[in-house]
Amino acid sequence: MSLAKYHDKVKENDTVILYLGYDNMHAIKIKKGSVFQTRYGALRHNDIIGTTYGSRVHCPKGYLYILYPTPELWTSNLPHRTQILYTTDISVVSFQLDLKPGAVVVESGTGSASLSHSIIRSILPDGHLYTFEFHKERAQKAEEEFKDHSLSDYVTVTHKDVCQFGFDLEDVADAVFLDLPVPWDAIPSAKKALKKQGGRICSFSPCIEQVQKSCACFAELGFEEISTKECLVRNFDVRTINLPNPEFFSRDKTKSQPQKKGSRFDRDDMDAYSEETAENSAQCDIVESSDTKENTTSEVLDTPAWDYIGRKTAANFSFKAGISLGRMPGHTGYLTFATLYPL
Amino acid sequence: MATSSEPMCVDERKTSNVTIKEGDQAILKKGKTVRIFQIRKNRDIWLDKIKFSLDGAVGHYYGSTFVVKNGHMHKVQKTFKEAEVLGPEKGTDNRDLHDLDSNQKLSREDIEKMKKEGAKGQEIIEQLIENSTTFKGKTEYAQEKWVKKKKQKHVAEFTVLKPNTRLMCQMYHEKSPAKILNIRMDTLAQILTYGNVHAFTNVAVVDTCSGLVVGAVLERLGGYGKVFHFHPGERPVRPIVDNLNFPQEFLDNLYNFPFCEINSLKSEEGKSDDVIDNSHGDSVPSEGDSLSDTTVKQCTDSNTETNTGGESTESQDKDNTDPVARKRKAEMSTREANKILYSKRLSEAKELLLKRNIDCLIIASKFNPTPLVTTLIEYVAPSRPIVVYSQYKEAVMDAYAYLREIGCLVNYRVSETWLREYQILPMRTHPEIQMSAGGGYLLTATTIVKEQK
Repeated sequence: MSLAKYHDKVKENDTVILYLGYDNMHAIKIKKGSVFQTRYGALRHNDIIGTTYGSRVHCPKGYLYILYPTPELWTSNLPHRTQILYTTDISVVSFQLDLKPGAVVVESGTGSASLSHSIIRSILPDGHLYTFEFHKERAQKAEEEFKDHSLSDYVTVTHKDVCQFGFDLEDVADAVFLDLPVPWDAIPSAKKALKKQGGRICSFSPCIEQVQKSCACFAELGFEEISTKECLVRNFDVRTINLPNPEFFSRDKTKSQPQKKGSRFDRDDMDAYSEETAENSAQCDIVESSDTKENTTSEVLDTPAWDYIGRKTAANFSFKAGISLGRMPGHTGYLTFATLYPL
Repeated sequence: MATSSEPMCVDERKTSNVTIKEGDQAILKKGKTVRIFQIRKNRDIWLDKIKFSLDGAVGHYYGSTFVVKNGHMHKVQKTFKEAEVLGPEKGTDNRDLHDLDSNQKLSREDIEKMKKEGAKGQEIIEQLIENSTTFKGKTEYAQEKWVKKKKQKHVAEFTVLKPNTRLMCQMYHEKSPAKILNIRMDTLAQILTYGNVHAFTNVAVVDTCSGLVVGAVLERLGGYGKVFHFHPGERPVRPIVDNLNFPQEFLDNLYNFPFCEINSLKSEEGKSDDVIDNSHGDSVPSEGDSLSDTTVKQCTDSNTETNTGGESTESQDKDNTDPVARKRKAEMSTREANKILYSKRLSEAKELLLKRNIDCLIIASKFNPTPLVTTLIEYVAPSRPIVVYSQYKEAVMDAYAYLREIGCLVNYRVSETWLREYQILPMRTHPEIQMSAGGGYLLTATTIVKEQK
C-alpha cells in the first residue's frame, strides 16, 4: 500500500484506518490471522483483506469503516514518539514553503514523522525529503514507517545532530523546516543547504524567546520577509437548539403538566440542546398557556421574513447552530517563515 | 547510520524557470505592495506612482531586487539595514518631542530633486536624518521605526518574484478579497491538505474565486492527475490560473465543466458505453491529443489556414482572392474548430467523471454549496476527502446537515482557522496591531462505499 497513491482494495501489510465514530479511529497494520479488539467486538484482519476501502465492516456488536490512510488520517492516529505537528500547522507550513511536486525539502527533527509524511505526499514523485533526527531509535522507526508506507524512494533519513554537525548539504533545497529546541544553531547550515537561486525556510518553536532568537539569526544571515504567525483551529458541533420562551405568568399549580418528549421547559440552559436531527424537530411543542382559548402553541409565529433565522413557536425558538464548547487548542507553536533570495 | 536513498534529479525545465524571461508573468513586490505584470519589452508600467519599463529585469534571477532610475530598472544588492544609518545619539523617551511639520527641514521638492539627481536611497535617508530636529531625541527603537517608514516612502526598490499560489493568494487577499471569496491563506492551506491534493489524484473543483483554488490544485498536482473545474456560465473565469503561468502539460489536464452540463451528466449515467455524444457539431477526426483551452485561444488568435472545420468552408475556395471574405472564412473556420474542440473536451470530461473515481471534491463558490456537494458526490470514489468552503458558517452547516441525512460520508468536521501575525523585535515583541477577522469556514469529510439498499 502506499500513502503516495490511492488504491482500491485492502491488501496484507497495508496500514488501514478503522473509523468507529466521532473521535474514535485506529491505525492498524493488516496481517493475516491477526485480530483487533474493538468496542464492537473482535475484528479479524482476514475479513478485511480484499474489501474496498470505504467499506463498512461488521463486528459482533456493531460496525466500522475501513478508510484509506491519508497523511491527515495518519497524523491523527500515528503512535507518538514525540509531540507532533497537527494538520492545521502542517497545512500552513506546506503552503508557506511552496511545496509541490519536484520540491526538495530538508527537515530536522523528524520526531514522529507526522509532518514528514505530509511533506513527502506534497513533493512526490520527483521531489525529495532529507530528514534528520538525533535520536537513533526514532530515526529507525521513521525509516520503518516510510518503508511500510511505500515512501522510501522519496525520503532519506539521517541519524545526526544537525545543531552540532550541520546538514552537510549545499545548494540542494527549495525549503527547510526546523523544529528544534535551539534552531539558531542550525540556521547557518540550513542557509547553506538552500539552493543558490533562493528558497524558503520555516522554524517552529513553542516559546517566544526561541522565536526572538531565531528571527534575529535570520535577519543577521540575510534572510528576508521574516514573518511569524500562529494558526489555531476551532471546530464546530452542529446541533439543533431549542430555546424555550419564558412564561410571564404563573401556572395553576393544581393542573397537571404533561411532559412531552423533547420539552426542556424546566431545565437549565445547559441542557437546552436536543439530540441532533437533520430537520428541525416538531417535537418542541410544549404545554399550552393557561388563559388562551385556542391552542396555537404549535403554530409558527408570524415574523417578518428578514427576521427568520430559525423556527419560532409560542413555546420555543429553534435553530441549527454551530457551537464551540469547552476547550480548544490555544497554542501549538509559532511558525516563523523567511525567504532567502539569490545574491 | 545514514540510509541510502538516491535523490531524484531536478528537471532541466525546472531550473530554467528561475530566470526572468520576456512574456513571463512577474510579481513586483515593494514592502507590502504586491502587483503582477506581464513582462513585455519596451512597454512601460506604473508602480507606486513611478513609470518605468520592465526590460531591465530580463535575464536576472527571480528574487532579485531592482531600483528605478530614469524609467529603467537596475539590479541592486539588497537594501541597507535600518541600523546602518543610526548614529550614536539617541533619547530615552518622548516627553519633550513635539509632532510638528517644521521638524523636517527638507521640503518635498528638495527630496524630489535629490531623487532626480540619482541620489541613492541610503543617502536620501541620511539627509532626512541630518535635517530632522527631533531625530536625535528619539529612542533607538523610535529611530528604527522612523527610518523604516522613510524607506518605504522614498526608496523605490522592489523585488521581482515568480508568481505562485502563496503570492497570488496574498495579493488578492490584500487588494480584492471579494474576488477570492475572502479565502485567507491558512484556509486555502487547509483545503489543499485536507483534500489530500497531490500528484496522481483527480480533483473536482467548483471554483468561483477567480481560479485561486483551481490554480492551487494545479500547482500541487504538478502536472500529474486531472482537474475538473465546475463553473457557472459558458466559460470559466480564472485570471489567477493565467497569472500562475503553468506549462501547457498542466493545462492539458484541466477540464472545464459548465454547471449547465451537470444535468446532462446525471442523465448519462447508466449509458456509460455511448457517452461520447456525437450530436454536438460535426464528428471530425481530430489531430492528436486534446488541446486545452489556452490552445483554443491561440487558435483564435493565430489560426488562418489550418483547421479541422467541416467541408462547407473548403468549398468556398473561390473567394480566396477577396481579403474580407478570406478573413471571414478564417474566423468561421476557427469558430467551427473551437466548437468541435469544446464539445470533444466536454465529452472527455463526462466520460472521465462517469468513471466515478474522483479522488477529491472541493467546493469554493459563491453558490449554495448543498446542491453542488449532494450532486457531485456521486462521482467521488469511496474513502476520499471532500472539502466545502464558504464564507458563511450557515451554508457549511446546511451542507453538513444534508450530507448527514444522505449518509454517504463519515469523519465530518466543521471548522474555521484563526490566524495571527507577530512583530518580533528585541523588547518590542507583540502580536500585530491588526489581524484578520475571519477566513471562512470549512466542512471536511470522507466518503464511504454507498450501502446497497
